[in-house]
Amino acid sequence: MSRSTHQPQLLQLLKPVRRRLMAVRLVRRAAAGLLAGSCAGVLLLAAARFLPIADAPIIAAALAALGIAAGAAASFRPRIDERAAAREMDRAGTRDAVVTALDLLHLNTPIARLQRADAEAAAARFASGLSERIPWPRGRERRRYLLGLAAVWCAAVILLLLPNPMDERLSARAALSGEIVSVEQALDELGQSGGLSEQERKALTEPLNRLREQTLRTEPDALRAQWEAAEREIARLAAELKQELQATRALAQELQRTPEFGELGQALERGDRRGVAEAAERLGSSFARLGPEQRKALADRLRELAGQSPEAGEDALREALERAADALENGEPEAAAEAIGQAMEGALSAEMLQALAEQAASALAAAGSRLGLDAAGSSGSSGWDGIADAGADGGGGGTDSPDGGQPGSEGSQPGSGQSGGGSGQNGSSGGSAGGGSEGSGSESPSGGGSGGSGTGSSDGKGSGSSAGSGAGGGPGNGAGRGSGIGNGRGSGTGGGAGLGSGGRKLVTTPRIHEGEGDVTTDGGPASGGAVTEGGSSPVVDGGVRSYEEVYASYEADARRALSAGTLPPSLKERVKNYFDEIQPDR
Amino acid sequence: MIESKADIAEAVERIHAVRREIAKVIVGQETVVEQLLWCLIAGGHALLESVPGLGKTMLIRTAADALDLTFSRIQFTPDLMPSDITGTRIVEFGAAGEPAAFRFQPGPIFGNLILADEINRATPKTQSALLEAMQERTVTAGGETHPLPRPFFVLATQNPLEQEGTYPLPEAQLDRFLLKIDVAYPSRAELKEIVARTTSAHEAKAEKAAGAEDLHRIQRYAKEVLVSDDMLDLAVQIVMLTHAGEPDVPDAVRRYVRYGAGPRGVQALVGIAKVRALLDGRLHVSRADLAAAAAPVLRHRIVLGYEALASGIRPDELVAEVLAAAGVSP
Repeated sequence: MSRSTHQPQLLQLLKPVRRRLMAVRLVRRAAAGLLAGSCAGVLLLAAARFLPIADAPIIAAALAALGIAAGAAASFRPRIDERAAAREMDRAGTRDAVVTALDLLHLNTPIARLQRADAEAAAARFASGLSERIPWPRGRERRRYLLGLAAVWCAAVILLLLPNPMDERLSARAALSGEIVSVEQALDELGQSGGLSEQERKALTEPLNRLREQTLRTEPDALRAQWEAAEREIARLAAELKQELQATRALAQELQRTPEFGELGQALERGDRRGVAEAAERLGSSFARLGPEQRKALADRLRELAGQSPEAGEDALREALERAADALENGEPEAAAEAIGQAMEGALSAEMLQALAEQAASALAAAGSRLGLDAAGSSGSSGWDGIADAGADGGGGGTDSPDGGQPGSEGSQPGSGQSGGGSGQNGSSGGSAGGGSEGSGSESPSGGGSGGSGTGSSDGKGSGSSAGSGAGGGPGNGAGRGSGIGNGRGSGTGGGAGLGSGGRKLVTTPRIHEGEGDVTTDGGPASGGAVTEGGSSPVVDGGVRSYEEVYASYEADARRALSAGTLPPSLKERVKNYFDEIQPDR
Repeated sequence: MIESKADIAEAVERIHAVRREIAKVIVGQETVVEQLLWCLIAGGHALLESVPGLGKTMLIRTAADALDLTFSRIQFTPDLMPSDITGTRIVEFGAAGEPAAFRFQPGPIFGNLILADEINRATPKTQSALLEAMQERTVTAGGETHPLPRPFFVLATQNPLEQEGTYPLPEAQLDRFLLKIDVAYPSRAELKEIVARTTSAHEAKAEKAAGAEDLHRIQRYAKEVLVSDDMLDLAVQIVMLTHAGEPDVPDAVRRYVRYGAGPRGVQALVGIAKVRALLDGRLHVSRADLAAAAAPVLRHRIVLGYEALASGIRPDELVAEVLAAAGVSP
């Protein structure tokens, strides 16, 4: 017999053996991979109860699937070739005849032919009972495997059904990430309009990003401290921006007193970026028409305005105004107009930044409450509320205080008093252990408000202060005093609103521009302009107004803010509760 | 050359007939008889080790009768000289008694089947003369080389006891024996049968079952048996695993073995495996053949260290460890 006739016959007999071996190996290894992947998945699910692992169930399922795939892939290595099939046959009873015949296919001696015939006969016998000789996993082996797999899957189901404490942290992180994205988008828009410096951007986004990373990596206790630190940082930024915003508004009012800057001032006060830009452009031609003396006077006025913005962070504005004054004196009206325009643009950005800071603070508070950091949130009256308070009255705001309380500020107007109160916070429970203070004011002619005192007695972090306001009619001195006693350690910022126990039928309001009347802009006596008398002014001077009237106005503003803003529902509820608390008829 | 299965069957039948004839005289000892026949078919020499009185001489004489081979026995003693084995030149006298010429007088080594009884009692010089003749299959005396008759087998015996005054064979000379056959003590039934046979009036005698030509033909057949690469790899692996310095050797080998088997060990292993395959009616070597051949082939080629001797470790135990490490069941 020739080699050409024998080789195919032996190899033909080996083919079904190879296929069978491959199939059995595939099933075994895929099953082993499934078991290994399932074990890995269960370990992951167990670890996810101690570590914040996002989408742990999905990853666990993927691990099981990956195990199957890896097992199936591994079944192709090493390759099952003819020799491997022959060895398998020999192991099962052909006594090394097939391997020998396969090795010596090239030999054509009589003994080689005889041996090959023996091997083919043995291989044929083997192939006829293939399913018995190379069986699928069965018997005890299969039972043990199925039991093991069932045990692993039961463990997985139990782990999936039990509530996972890490889920809250993960959802908080996701929420925080979403808020950060929206803040960053807003910052991008602001940056495109040229009103945002990189430093300002970093100041706002860095605490958020840092906190996002630490949300998953940090232990809850340490996270609480970091959360509070971030809140303080954001609140501090917001407060600075608020000051800047106030300075901007003050500048706008000052600008309106000068006829040349009246239009610019109005646009600035409205927050109308386009209007500011247009007004600044028109300033150039207006400046060009002025005589030297008028330009000198206008330059003096600009320097005066520059001198009126001494707050921190206003250096750029002051420098721009001084630069504009210099340019005006040097006969460069276009440069002066451009400098003023830049200064106004920068001033306008403060308002947007302040809104973003508030949004960031709200996001932090909301995410913190999901993490069970409500304690931080309550002292965070420190956060959002602190910002609101700083904007509302500029006094009595909470400050960091290890004592958990802070003396209230002295009443600044006759008949009004502000009280400060402290609140301590229990760090472990997250509840507030400190008592808010009550402010009191009197209605006596001499007037006077006395601050209450607040105490905080629990260990923990945070402090708060409350501002109470009382109003008394008539002249007099108002004095507010608050004291806080706290044993707690830590710090907190912000201030809550205290409730005055004094009468509040009448309250003092600041001067506003909501009246009816003409607006006339003149240089004013200080700049040497003409004095215009007569007419009516829209300015409504501050004075003593009824509490109901002030409350209605403030409540309307709050409603508009709530409906327009992105405040989380939990915080909206707090605002509503606050206004309910201070209703006139309560 | 093997032309058909009938050739194989005829050879196997011949050997079975020899075995039957031997069994007429020798009670039991199937393994010893089997391994002795392997050695004769493979054309090698064997070293038989046992305590005295177990029928070694009777076995060899009977094998010679069954194979119709000339048998001679040399009792090794300390005063045995090489020429006492190989033969010597003697003066031949003429008719008148005058010295006429030198003539070579062959020694007892000139036979087909030589029993070198208690080989370790002769001096190394005499041992060397025998071993040289075993290797070269010739004897040189007086400048003349005399070929030994074919077939030529030396079956040497050793007594493991009474080692005083003996000259143990060096490892290099032990390596020249194809097999070392351990002759075990007979069982109760065998002993009873031995007594019954040897104390009766009937004297059992083996008849000729095969001749030298048959043996020569079967030897050629055995060399033709096929060996696959896998089996050669396995044989090499088994031998390499007797070397303590090799990777993956069993701990016992690493601990007790001073020197492992050499290349002659692999040759012997494959040669004996081929004979076994042939006697099993197969035309190829299987791993079972290698496993069966391993102990008699390797037991005298493994040099044990002092710790093994002190601990009473036997080479067969280490061979079993080696086979297990190679994935072969003995």
